[in-house]
Order: sequence, then C-alpha cells, then structure tokens
Amino acid sequence: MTNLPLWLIPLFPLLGTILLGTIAVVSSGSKKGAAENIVGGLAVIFPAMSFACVTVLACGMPESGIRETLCNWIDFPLLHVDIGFLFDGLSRIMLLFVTGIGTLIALYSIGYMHGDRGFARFFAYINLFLFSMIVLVLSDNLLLTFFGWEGVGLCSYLLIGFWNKDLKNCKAANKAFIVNRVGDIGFLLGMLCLLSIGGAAVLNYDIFNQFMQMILNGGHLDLVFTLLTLTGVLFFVGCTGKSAQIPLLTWLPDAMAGPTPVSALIHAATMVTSGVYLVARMGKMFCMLPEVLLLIAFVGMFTALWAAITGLFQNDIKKVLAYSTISQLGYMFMAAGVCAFDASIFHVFTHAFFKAALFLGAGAVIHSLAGEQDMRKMGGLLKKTPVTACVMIFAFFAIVGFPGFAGFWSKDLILEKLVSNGPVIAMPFALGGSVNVPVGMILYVVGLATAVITAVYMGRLIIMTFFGEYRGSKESEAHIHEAPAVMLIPMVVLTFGSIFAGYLWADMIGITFFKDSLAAALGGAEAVGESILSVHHVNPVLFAVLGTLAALLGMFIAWRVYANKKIPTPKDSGAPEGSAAAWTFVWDYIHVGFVFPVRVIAWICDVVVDKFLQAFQWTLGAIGEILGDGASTFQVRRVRLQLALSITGVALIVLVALFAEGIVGIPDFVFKLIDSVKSLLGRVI
Amino acid sequence: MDTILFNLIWVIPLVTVLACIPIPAARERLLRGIHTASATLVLGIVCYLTFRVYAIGSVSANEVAAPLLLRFFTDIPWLSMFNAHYIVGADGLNMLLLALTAFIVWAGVLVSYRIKGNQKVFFALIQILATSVYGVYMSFDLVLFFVFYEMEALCMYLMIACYGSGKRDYGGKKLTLTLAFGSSMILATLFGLYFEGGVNSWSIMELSKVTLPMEFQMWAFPLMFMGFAVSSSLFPFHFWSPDGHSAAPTAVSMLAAGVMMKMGAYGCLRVAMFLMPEAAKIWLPYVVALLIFNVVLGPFIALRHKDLKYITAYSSISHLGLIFLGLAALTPVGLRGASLQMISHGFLTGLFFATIGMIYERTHTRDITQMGGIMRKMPFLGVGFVLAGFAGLGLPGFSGFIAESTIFIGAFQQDSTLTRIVTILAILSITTTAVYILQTANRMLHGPLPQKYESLTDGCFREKLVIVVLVACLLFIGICPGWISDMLDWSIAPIFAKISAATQPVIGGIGG
Repeated sequence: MTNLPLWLIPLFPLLGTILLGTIAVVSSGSKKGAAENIVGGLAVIFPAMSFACVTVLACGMPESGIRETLCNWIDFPLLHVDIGFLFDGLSRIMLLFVTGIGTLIALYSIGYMHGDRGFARFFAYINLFLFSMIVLVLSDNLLLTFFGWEGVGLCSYLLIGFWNKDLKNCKAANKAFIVNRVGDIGFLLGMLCLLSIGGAAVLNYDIFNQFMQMILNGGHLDLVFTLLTLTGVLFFVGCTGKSAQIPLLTWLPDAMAGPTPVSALIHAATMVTSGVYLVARMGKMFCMLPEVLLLIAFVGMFTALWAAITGLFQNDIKKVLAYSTISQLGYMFMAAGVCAFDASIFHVFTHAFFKAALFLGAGAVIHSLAGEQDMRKMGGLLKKTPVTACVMIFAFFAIVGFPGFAGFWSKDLILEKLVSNGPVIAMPFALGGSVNVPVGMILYVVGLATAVITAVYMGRLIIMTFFGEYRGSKESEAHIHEAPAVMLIPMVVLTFGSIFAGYLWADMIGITFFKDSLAAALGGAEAVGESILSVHHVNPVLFAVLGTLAALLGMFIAWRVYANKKIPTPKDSGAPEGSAAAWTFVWDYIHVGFVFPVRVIAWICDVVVDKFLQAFQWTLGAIGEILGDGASTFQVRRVRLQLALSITGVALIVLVALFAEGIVGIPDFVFKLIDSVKSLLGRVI
Repeated sequence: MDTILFNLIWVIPLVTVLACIPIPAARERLLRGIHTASATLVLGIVCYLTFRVYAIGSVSANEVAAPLLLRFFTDIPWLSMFNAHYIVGADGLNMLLLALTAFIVWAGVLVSYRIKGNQKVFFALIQILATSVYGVYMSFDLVLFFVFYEMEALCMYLMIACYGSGKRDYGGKKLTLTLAFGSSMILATLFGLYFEGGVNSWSIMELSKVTLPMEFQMWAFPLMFMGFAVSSSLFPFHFWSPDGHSAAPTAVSMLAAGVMMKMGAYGCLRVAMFLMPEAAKIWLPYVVALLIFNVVLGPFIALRHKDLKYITAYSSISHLGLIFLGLAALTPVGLRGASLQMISHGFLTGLFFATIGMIYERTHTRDITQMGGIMRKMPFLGVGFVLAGFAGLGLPGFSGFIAESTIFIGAFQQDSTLTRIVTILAILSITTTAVYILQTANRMLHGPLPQKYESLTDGCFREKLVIVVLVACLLFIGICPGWISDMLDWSIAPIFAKISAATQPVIGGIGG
C-alpha cells in the first residue's frame, strides 16, 4: 500500500480549489448561491481524501522517508530546483495534523458559515490554503517551500478579508500580508545567501543537510561562519513574520477579523507554526550557529512573556486566544533555540489540537450569541451550551499543562529542555572579569512565569465566558443555543486529541514514540546541537511537579481574582476592539514608527526628486519656448522694419569683426566714458 | 513555408488596414470583426511558430544567421544605395517577444470595442502600431530596425491625442517628443556603427563579427544605451511614461507598457550591448547606479498616487528597472532573468491596464478615493485586478516571481558591491510594492459601495476572455518556466559569449 504517489496529497485540495472556485464564480451571479450541502460535501471530501493518503503513507513509511521528484521546475546554470516531495518523519507528523485538523475544521465550517453569501468562495480558499500548506510541508526544497509559504500567506490574506464589506477587515488583511511580506524578504535574502555559500543545488533539503554535514566534518565552519550566521538570522526573520514573533507580531491579533474557523485553522493550528517547522527543517544549519540559537531563544522568551501579559487585558474572546497563540509559539521557538527541535515540533503538534479546540469552542460561543465576541457580555454559558463548555474546559486544562493533558507533556518537556540544553555564556564585565550567565535558567524561569500567566488569562477567559451570570441583553439570552452537530463533532474529536495527544511522548512513563519517529529527520541536528551546548541530564519528574504547581497557581489566581469580580458592562456598542490593550503592546507603536518614515521617503521621492526633476525639465522646455516665441515676434510683416533690423545686424557684425581683429582701434572716448560711469557708480554706492 | 508565415506576421496587419479602407466607417461591427480576425490569425501564426522554434531547439542555424542561431532567416537587398537589406529572423528571445506582442495586440483589439470616436481609424492605427512592434522584434538590419522603431512613436501620438482621456494632448506630446529625443541619439550612433564598422553593412550579424574601435564605443555606447533606455523609462527619462500612459486609451496603454517599453530593453541588449560589449563592461556599472532610483523611487511614488494609471505606470518603472538590473549584472543568469522579466512584465502590465481600462469604462474615474466596494458589483474584473496585483508583487506561481528571483540571483553573483546593494534595495522594495498594490485594491474594491455605482455591471464575455487568457499566460510562465527558459537559454548564449569574450582595454579617465 505504500506505493501511493506523494503528489496525490496536494492534488486533492487543488482539485477542490478548482472545482469550488468554479462553482463560486458561476454562482456569483445568481441570487441564491450554490446549494450548500453539495458545496460543503465537496469541501470536506477533498481534504479528507488527502488525509487518507497521508495516513496510508504514514503507516508504511520507511525509516529514511520517501522521496519523489515530479519534474524540473527551474533549471538555470546557478539555480536548479525540482518540483519534488520529501515525506519523512517531520513532514509526516506535520501533514497528519494539517490534513486531519483541516478536514475537521472544514466540517465545522459547514455549520459555521451556513447562510453566508460567499459559502463556496470560503471553501475554495480553505482548500487552496490546505494545498499551499501541504506544499510548504511536503516540498523537498526551500524554493518550493517558499511557494507554499507565500501561498498560505495569500490565503490568510484572502480569508482575513473574507467579509470585505467592512473596510476594517480588509485593513487587517493588508496588515497581515504586508507584515508577512517583510518577513518573506528575510526568507528570500536568506536563500540568496545560502545560494552564494552552497551553490546551485543547495536549496534541496537532502543536499542542504549533506552540505552542512560537510562543513561540520571538514572543519571549514569558520570560513563561512559569518555568512552562515547572516543566513540563519535572515531565515529566522522570515520565521518571525509567519509565526508572529517579536518584532513582527502585530498582525496576528488583527487577523482575528476573519471567520473563526479560519482563525482556528490558519492562525492557530497550522500556518503560524510553519516558522517553527522551517527552523526544525533547517536544524542542521541552526545547530551550528550558537549566536543565532541564542537570538531565537530570547526572541521566543520575550514573545511568550509579552503576549501572555497582553492576553490578560483583552476583552475580545478571540484576541485572548490570538495572544495565547503568540505566547505558545514563543515556547516553541524557545525550545528550538536550545536545539530541542523535536520538543518544539511536539508542542506544535499538541498545540494544534488544543488551540484548534479552543478556537472552535470560541466560534461556537460566538455563533450561539449571534456574533458577540466581547467576553464582558458573556457569562454563565456553562448551563446553556454544556458541550461547548466541556470542550473549552478540557482544552483549557491542556493549554495550562494540567497533569495528564496534552500541554502538560509538551510544555514541561520544553521547560525541561531549556534547563538541560541551555547554554552557559561568559559575559565579560566592563570593569574586567566575567560572569557565567546560565541562559538556560533564565529561559526556564521566564517560561515558568509565563506558564503561570497563561493559566491566569485562560482561567479568566473560561470564568468570564462560562461561569457567573449572563451579562448580555435579555432578548439575546433567549436565542442562545448549542451549536449544531456538524460543529460539535469536530470539537469533540479535537478535545480527545488535546487530552491524549501528549501520550505520544511521555518521558515519565517511558513512551518516546514521537521522539523516535522524528529521530531520522532531526537526529543529526540535535546531536550536533547537544554536543555544542554540553547537555546535562535532569530529572523530568521535578519539572513536571514545578510545571503543575505553576498551572495550579495560575488557576488559583484566576479564580480568586475573576470568579467573584463584578465585571463592568462595556460602554461602547460591543464591537470587537481594535487595540484595546495597545499600551501593553508597544510593538504596534513601533510599527507605526516604521510607517511614518516610509511616508517621508515617499514624499521625498515624489516631491523632492521626481517633481524637482520634472520642474527642471519644464524649465528647459520653457526656455526653448521663450526663445522660439522671442524669435517669432521679430517675424512681422513690415518690410521697412525688417530691412532696418537686418542692416543694423549686419552693421553690428561688421563692427564687432573689425574691433575684434584690431583693424579699427577702440576710440579713447569709449574708455573715458566707461571710467566716468565707474566713478559715478562709486559715488552713488 | 515557416519562413513565409514568419514574414506574414508584420504583413497581415498592414494588409488588414488596406483591406478596410473601402469599408465605410459607420459599419463598426464589420470593422471590428475584421480586425479581431486578423489579430487572432497573427496570434495563431505566432503561437505556431513559437512551438516550431521550441521544437527545433538550439541546433545550429545556417551560416549567414550565425552567430545568433536565427530561425526563419530572410535576407533580401533593399535600399542598394546604402547597402540596407531586408533582414528578418528570430531566435528564442525574439519569438517569445513576438508571442507577447501578438497576445497584447489581440487583447488590445478586444478591449477597444467600445472606444469613442472614429473606430475605423483607431483600429487601423492599432494595426500599424502592431506592424511596427513586430518589425522591431523581427529585423536584424539596423535601418529596417530603425524604421520600425520610429513608426511606433508616431502612431502612439495620434492615438493618444485623438482617442485619449484627460490631458491627452500634453501626454501625447510629452511621450512622442521624449521618444523622439531617444531616437535621435540612436540614429546618430547607428550611422557611427555603419561607418566605424567598416563592413559596409547594417546587418547586426555582420557588425557583430568586427570589434569596433574603442574610442568610438566609449561615446557611442552610452548614447545608444540611453537612447533605448528612454523608451524603457530608465531613471532620468521616465517622465513621459506616467503622463503618457494615463492619457492613452486602454489598448495603447497596454501596448505601450506591455510591449513598447520592452523594445528599449531589447534594443539595449541586442544592439548596444551585443555590438559594443567592450564599452558595455565599462559603462554598465553607471547604469546600475541610476537603477537605484528606478527600483526605489518607483514603488514609493506609486504609494502617493491616487490615479490607477499613475500607480501602474510607476510600478512599471520599478519593474523595468529590474530588467536593466538583470542586463547590467552581465551574468548569464542575470541576462536570462532580464529577458524573462521582459516577457512576464508584458503580460502583467497588459492585464493591469486591461482591467483598469474596463473598470474606468464603467466608473468613469480612475481616482481610487472615489471608488469603493466595486468588487461586489464586478467580481470578475476585481479578481482580475487583484490577480494582476499579486503577479506584480511577485507571488510565487505567477511569472513575476520566477523572473524577479532569477534577476536577483543573477545580479547577486556579480562581484561588485554596488550591484549587490542595488539588488538588496530591489528586494526590499518588494514590500513597498505589496503596500501600494494592496492599498489600492482595498480602496478600490472593498468597503462601502457609493450610491452612483449601484448599477454597474461585470465584464462581458469578451472582457472575461481577455482576463482569463492573460492570467493563464502569467500562471503558465510561473508554473512551468522551464519551457520558456529553455528557449531563452540558447538565445542568450551567443550574446553572453560575445560579451564575456570582450576583453576590457585599459582606458584612462572613465571607469575601469
């Protein structure tokens, strides 16, 4: 059964895109739109078939992975890129949850998007997204990954601005695309650098790994170290864009303007983790660059902490989840920063389940409240929508790392790795001497603090939404209803995932299935990293206990602070607030700080350079015109005047010629005249 | 047989014009039908010939057509008093440019069905314009080349001044005079080439076999390069393009930006750089310095404009800057990227100006602040515009990405700091491109719909066909560039071989 061709996996969503796109275009003229059950069925069946392919392939995959080259894409003397696929441990795990969760969310969307004008269009985009995401993950070279990378960015743009009647949504979409674009430049420049180090074929992952191994074994590292470090930084810039890390994180909260299933699929479970995937995929390179690793770890740390704090102040249920996504992504980068790529991918995997469940739960809440997203107008929904509440609460336990749930295994693993792999750096003092800074310890303490805050803001979300009294208007209370089955089924499946996904790698009870499955794809990089970082082993139970205590502490704080607190009703109409907590989020201001110089440069380019040059050109033209006009005024129809002018002219020329040749001397009185004029002028002045 | 067909490419449009003379101008339907049929016929021929050229591949051509590997080679004595011949032929690059032209002319005829004014004359002018462009891309004799090159500016003036909009007289004059200024520089150097070459021939093949004296090259190359670059709107000579494009009717904008602006870059490559490679090596670094303005200025100015055609014109300026970046890099990858960009950008701006024209036909304004929400009224045209935008900002899958990244890689290989800095600037300016394209799409297509646009209609079949065909071309080049890069590969090889073989003599004073 393993001889299924790999290209079938991306083919199905592509077919879905084409089919649904055609339906959307054809039915755009009609009043009713296409039949929803047909469109919905098509929209689910294609990702599901893709998922089936992945499952079949995943079961029979040989240790070294499957490689397949479809055809040549670009063949230039210094750039050789094939359209080829690589199905190994890393892409297997990514594909499993991308297609699996993609299918579930497509199913959920049938219920959520019911009655929308752009029903078919929505599913065409979703299928296009899945196609791009699959290409991103499955490709065997960086350029094809970039193709998918841009494709998912495009879909994210299209889906954030899906309800394009409201200009705010479109602005959010633009922001997402443009901020991502800044990151993409990092990716592009990184590829350029890599090409100039490694030559035409280095973009292929296999050759990339061999090349890095060669550098390492040959001891030529110091020759290319500077350029390689630059490459690493540039690629990481690309990752910060896609995965919403400092400083390119402002787009993700705004991206919540899209429909909620989109937020669940793209802005929580799959697309935003592609940065982590890329770092893991290029682990062979990153593990040789301690400075870059340190940068990644610290960026991850700051992002995790910062986003968690900001999450405390949000009132929009989706924004809380958005900040929590950013914070969790920060954890993943922290892990990648200490060369624990498998741990970071494991967190990607578990996070996909519980964050998707949380988002879908939030979507169900919003759906039942007819579009209300403000948590201050919710409350007491536990009795009205019990299934949704259970889903959210289980996912909540998973995200805070309650023992036994998925987040417990993955987050504690990351925290453990931070201590065990964390480098110790000698920091020189200004006055001489140096001190050893235990970077791993710093990362761990901040990570643990972030875990506490995570429990607080997530607890706040659960309490404000499901406990207490309903705070909305009376008439809206009557309409509250549980979501339809088509929405509940995916939520329940994901809940099971967020409970049990963690058991794939439960070190404490001796299961390392997940680690082993990734070993072939990542092992080399980890080994190199560990040899550089001087790993010391620690007792995992201690970290589990501390992590659990952090979660419990956070939940306790949340319960004490928010359970009995009187929540003020919002003054405004309850529309989702744009930047309610902008003051915590200085990054928005920093971005504005970038927008302003751009305006200035544009002004300079337009007014100073362009207009100035045009003015110069006009002046030239004007001079030409004046000269022409001046000449033409003499061309009058008066014979005598013309004759007089010509004679004067001739006489002048003759005189000048005579004087110039010295045939006729200049008479003395001319000099005298000039002298007297001079003296007269002198007296006057 | 193929050679006859090849020569028919430029004859058919002229014959069509002559055939239409007896038809009264009032019978517009008939006239439109004839012109559409003729454009379609030429398109068919060109496509067939392109396939032929692709199929033949790089097998060596006959001896006269060497060193350029020309197909369909024809050489007939023409003006015997100064040895001008009628020499036409095509290699892969020419053939692809011809195909581009055929597509754009075909699309231009289709979008001009509702042009106001005397349609008989308008379509006749389009066909003459087409003839001149085909001629430029076919001829390998400098006199013939120049005749065709001059014809186009004249047609352009008439069409802009008579059928344009806005400041059409001003725009038309500015365009024509600036182009004439460029042509005068070219003409001067053409005579120089003839007399300095010493082979009594205007043929590019003959002239390429001799090495021109260095003193001549040193002044002739910049003059000729700049003369061609005027029509490709290289930095100090780009003013004509925004004014000219905005005043021109849709079809003329498409032809001017899509095809005619490539003629300059093509001339730089085929005539200036190919015949004077020694001077090219010395002078091109200075061109790179000028490009900073092209690649940086273009996007930023586009950011400030509100008129759709101005925005597109400035974006063209930045994209054409990339072509010159590829040329000036003087690496095989760079040259290939530049020629790929010529073709890709042709389709791209063609699509851009076509959709803008269609939208303008309905809204009667090109000011994006006046529009809004028209995506709901014209989804098809809106999607066409957005696709053009995405192709323009270099999204993978569209041709722009392949062409641009090839140029970047090619330019980055050049071992000069200046070129690398300009390359990095160009890559950074991609972000600015994204900003102005998305901002424009937002303001124009989304948000609330003004009352006056309630009755707008989406594109008709003819317009949809144009959009679909152009988008298909963009996607085709983007997804399977191998097909085209194969053809460019062996076409560029002789040019690059000649340039790399040129040894750089030591000259005091300039460059070095």
